[in-house]
Amino acid sequence: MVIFLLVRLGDVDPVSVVLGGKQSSPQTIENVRREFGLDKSIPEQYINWVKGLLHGEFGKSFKYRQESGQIIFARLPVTLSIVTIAALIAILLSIPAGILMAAKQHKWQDTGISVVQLILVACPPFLTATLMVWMLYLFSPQTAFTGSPRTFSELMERTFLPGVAMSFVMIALLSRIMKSGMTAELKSDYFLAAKAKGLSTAAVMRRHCLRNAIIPVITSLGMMIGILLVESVLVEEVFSLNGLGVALVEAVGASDYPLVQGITMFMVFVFMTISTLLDLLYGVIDPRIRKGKAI
Amino acid sequence: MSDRIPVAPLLSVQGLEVNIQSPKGAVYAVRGADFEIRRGEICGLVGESGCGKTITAKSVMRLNPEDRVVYGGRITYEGTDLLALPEAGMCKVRGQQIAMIFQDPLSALDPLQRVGKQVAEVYRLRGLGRREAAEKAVEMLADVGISPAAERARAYPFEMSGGQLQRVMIAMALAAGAELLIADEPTTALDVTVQAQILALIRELREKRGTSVLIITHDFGVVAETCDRVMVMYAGRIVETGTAAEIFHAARHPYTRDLIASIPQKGVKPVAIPGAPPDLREVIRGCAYAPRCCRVQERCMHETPEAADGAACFFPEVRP
Amino acid sequence: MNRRERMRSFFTVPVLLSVAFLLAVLLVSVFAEQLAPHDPDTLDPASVLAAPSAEHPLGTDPSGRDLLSRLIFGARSTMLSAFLVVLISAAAGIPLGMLAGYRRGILDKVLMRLCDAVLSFPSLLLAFVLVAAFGRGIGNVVLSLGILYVPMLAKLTRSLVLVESGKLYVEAAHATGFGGAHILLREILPNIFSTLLIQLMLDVGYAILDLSAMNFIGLGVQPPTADWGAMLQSARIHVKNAPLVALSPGILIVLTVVAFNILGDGISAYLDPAQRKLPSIKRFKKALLRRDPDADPGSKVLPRTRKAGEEAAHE
Repeated sequence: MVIFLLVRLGDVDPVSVVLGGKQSSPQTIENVRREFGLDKSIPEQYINWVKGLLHGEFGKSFKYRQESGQIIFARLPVTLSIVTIAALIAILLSIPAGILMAAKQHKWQDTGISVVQLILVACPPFLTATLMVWMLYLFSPQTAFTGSPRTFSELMERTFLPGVAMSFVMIALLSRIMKSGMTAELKSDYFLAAKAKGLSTAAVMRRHCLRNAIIPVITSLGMMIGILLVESVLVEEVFSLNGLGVALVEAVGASDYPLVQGITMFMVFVFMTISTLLDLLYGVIDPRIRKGKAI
Repeated sequence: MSDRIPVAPLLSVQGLEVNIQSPKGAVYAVRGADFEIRRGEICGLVGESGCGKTITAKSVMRLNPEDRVVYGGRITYEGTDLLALPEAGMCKVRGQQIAMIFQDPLSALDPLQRVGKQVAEVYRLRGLGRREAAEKAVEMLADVGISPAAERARAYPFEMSGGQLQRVMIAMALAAGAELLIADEPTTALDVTVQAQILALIRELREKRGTSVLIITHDFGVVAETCDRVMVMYAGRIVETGTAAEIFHAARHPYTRDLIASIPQKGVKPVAIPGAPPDLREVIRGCAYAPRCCRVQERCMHETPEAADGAACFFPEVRP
Repeated sequence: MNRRERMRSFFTVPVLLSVAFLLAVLLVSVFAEQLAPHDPDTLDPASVLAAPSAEHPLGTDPSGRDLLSRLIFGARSTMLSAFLVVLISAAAGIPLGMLAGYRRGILDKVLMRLCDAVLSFPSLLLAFVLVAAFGRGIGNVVLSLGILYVPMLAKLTRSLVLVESGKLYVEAAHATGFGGAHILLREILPNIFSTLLIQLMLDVGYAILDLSAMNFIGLGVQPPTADWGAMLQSARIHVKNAPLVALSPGILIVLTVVAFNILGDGISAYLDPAQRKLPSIKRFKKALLRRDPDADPGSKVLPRTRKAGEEAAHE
């Protein structure tokens, strides 16, 4: 609802968006109004939109004169693939990095990775992406990406580098969280107690601390994926991919409200789904949550 | 004196010094502690908080953060110098020879793992199969008085009471057949009635298994109830050693006497010891207790007394 | 720690470098007219993407404009808008947070719910929606980001006020008979100011990142305005033959943000070494700050603010 109202607050006349700013007869304008349901009052428009959502319709784009849903699903694979690749790389790299930092606290490994973190965190994804395009050109100038990916392998090929570019900031953030989590676990009593049983430090970390330390990482993962989903536009642009993010930004720029609403709602929906899935995952990891014990 | 057969003690600590580096400067936590633990005995280590008891215990297990600790002296367990042992060798000592339990059993157990599995892990470490280890773990839990053991083994730490958890800790510690159990304030976090049960369990295990026990505590009640022999620690040194009866009724070191006088007892007004223990970051000249001692003399300020006949004091109370 | 030791712990090499760099950037953006060798917007079709020369020390961009001059004016655009974003958020967030923390009650509950709802979404997504409502343009982007930075700041302020309110000097002020306004502004504010300052410092860094992203995708500044994010966008297709033109604005962004982060950490180390551990300050995106700042900083992060997100979904 907030999204709906906010978008409607703008003072741009939607009809001019549909017609591309051309001079039109009042009759045409009236037809357009009816086509998009704009002749109705705002509350009615809202009700219609919500009804549509329940049927899986996100509203009709002004610009494309097409259901937003169709546009979304056409653009989805690229974005989804970038986000997945980025998230996987980030998880796979940041967890070991965080563990290493915690285990070698104040040693050169720790300091080195913190410096890298500091820089990665400040690197906007579009810069990393541009750098990669440049590198790609330097090392294999003949590679050229044009057009939309058709097959799955093409998709992977095209979205791998963007995914890597997106993952950098996430690596920095997640490894920082992993490090602080692990550091806390290494100071815990059960770490000492497990060592007192005769386990080596590495074994205690692997068998006990890892699971405990990973909980905060999962907490932040949901938000991370949300950020990735939105920020994916920054690399889609650089790698000239037609993703969901690009569609959203174009729609924002063109005041194409239904499409903005549709994509935003969709992203929020995906984001909520992921959050719910992660909540279930907590339960698997932490018996205290599974058994409903408040902590 | 030739009629005394020299029985080698199980654990012998000689001149132990522990120096912990921290960002705020080095802490000389233990400053030349000497003591022994004999086979099958329950030994108490008492003293005010911050006197180095826990650090001493952790040093025996080598559980201090190794990169920030400098050790001096020797800790000999059945002939091996533990301080000279590499970490891999220490892993074999921990659990199998010397085991340790902690003050707060809830935080000393992995919150995400069933207690049975945590006990079974000890058996798994010794090469037992998953099922066999689980069975052994249930047996061990039953041994420390948890019932129904098979069912409780499937509980998570947060589902158990403090007393039960401490039993689990003891089971976990003794599962690998350690001959020496170090119990660091094992009853401090428990209710009084549960305390008695846990102490009874420790005594019972000594009878059944012949396990030697080192109990670290600041509670003389625990000492009186459980220990054969008592060592009193002050500022990183053992100042007096004796049987429980000797310490309670005929202590020779002024600190021990003051400490006992400060225990609230029926009909006797407790007397607090004036002043505070010394800052362990600083160099201490002479006897560490001199500034607070009622019998202090000129000599105490310059020379450090060595233990003689149980008490490290130049002017000990003379036994009647 | 005495004052001298604290000064020494503050002026470490990285902090000094950051201060020097930020001062340079600030000076350059203030005196852009005097320092820039050329007008940043003058097109010179004759020398497009020219190599560095005496006339154009860093060469020219794809439209033949002097790169150095554009970087200098870009610094002004970037710094000015980032400071504005933080100013807007501070002007709204700090008073709101103070009121909520001091008055408690319904106002506090409603405000904090709102903040949680906003924080449970990726900030860039909300920025898009706001810009869609306000229309594109740097002014609207600054306003949108300014609004989006409010909740985080309000929450931090609130939790700080809560902590201070329990202290003796506030009770003493109450007992003396001072009014709420006096206590808030003269007693509490000075005591929480340092922590807020650190947060504002870090926020400038994030604002630069977010702004450059908005400018990069063309929702912010419009051509021909020189801005680091927009410059990267217009030059990025030429990265193959003119890497300097494409990458230099990006590198400046990174350096500036890193410098702000180091400075923020440095100040917090100077103010109180123990505060280094304050999680709300160390974390990067405010989005990550999903746990309640009231919570014990040492406690485990558990999904306690998740509720706010679910409610927002139904709105």
